[in-house]
Amino acid sequence: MPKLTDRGPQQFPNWAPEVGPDWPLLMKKLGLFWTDWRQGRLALADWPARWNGLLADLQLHD
Amino acid sequence: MTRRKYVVVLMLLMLAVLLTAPWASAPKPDLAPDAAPEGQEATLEAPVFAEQRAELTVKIMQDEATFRLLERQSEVFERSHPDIRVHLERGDAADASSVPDDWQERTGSADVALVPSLWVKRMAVSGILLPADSAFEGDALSEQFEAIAAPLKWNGFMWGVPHHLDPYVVVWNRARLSAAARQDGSALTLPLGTEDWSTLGASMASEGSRPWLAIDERDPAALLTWLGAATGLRPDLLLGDSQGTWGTGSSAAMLNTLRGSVSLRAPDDSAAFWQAMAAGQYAAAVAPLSVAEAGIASLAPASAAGLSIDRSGWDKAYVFDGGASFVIGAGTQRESAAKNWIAAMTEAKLQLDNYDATGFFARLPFRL
Repeated sequence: MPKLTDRGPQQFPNWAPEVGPDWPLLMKKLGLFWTDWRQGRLALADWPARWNGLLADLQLHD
Repeated sequence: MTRRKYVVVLMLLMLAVLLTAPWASAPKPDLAPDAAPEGQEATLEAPVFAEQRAELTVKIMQDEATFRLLERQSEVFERSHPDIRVHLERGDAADASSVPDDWQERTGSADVALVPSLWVKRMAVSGILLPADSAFEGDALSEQFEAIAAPLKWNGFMWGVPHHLDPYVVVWNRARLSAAARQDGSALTLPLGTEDWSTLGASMASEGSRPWLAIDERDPAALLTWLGAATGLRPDLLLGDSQGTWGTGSSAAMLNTLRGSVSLRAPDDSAAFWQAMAAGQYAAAVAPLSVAEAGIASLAPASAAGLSIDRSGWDKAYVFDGGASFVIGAGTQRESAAKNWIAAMTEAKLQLDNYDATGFFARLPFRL
């Protein structure tokens, strides 16, 4: 059995994530953003702003 | 006897009849214990036994290897628990990080399901689960890692019992990595610094449209792991807001080398993929740790030595654990049996067995 916590800088990940119930939906959206970006419909520089717009829309519809 | 005495006796008799009438009209027991013939004793006991036996339906939304392993372990459980029968069914977890809209249809009337851990909180909020706190075996509840427990907690309860975790890592072909030289002439080495990513991007861009990253584009957790590695940000916070200008940072050029119509290959556990990776077809691959370690172990030592697993992303505040957890359906009539079975499937010795089992190479137990 490896001692994962003894791997120095390669430590076992043990931090609480910012996981909410809406994560599965957000991850699905992230996949769509990735597709848009890869196919040239979304510039990387525009990604964060568009993402914030998406979050705002989702909150409006809560 | 006088007439008055006749009346008194008659009234006493009527009173006696009235008082004893309820016993006379009471339904007879179906079968008096001592009235059953000897040959019928077994048939009398059988229905009682059937009522006590719990039939559990368990849906495994995981790969075939996980299903087979649980099937074997559940058979052992049934031998020591004759009152519980377990029917395992397999459903594909096509997208480990997104809850499918038809989850309830997929799991049907399952009492228990093994689902990607990231689904659990969403399912709990939907009201389709029972709390699972009491399904933790022994003191397991107090021994949980925060990274694993947090996606399962909601409203003061635990809604899932973790079965395994499988954190994402980036695998590098060191020869292709070191072909990119820093400004001072030194070759790139792991872990990559902030400036190293733009050096890498420039080097890869010079190779034209040749794909150099192997990643499953249908897996958002893999995409977030890669974006987190390239931007230096916590991958979970990339789903939040206010991430500012990460798209214009030093890593943007590197990310942009992935654009275009070139298809990216999803890493898998086939020997062909890992041989191609070792031969330098890809500079990097994003995969769950179990896939990466099994793939590298399948290579000849000389080939394997050319690949490095980069776990530096684990130093960040979050890493996608890629694990799965047991949940209990809110509609179950067999909650107690469900919790017994889950506790048995996640007990400490079995966790170690899972780690050692063929096909579960490097899938980490949730308790260490």
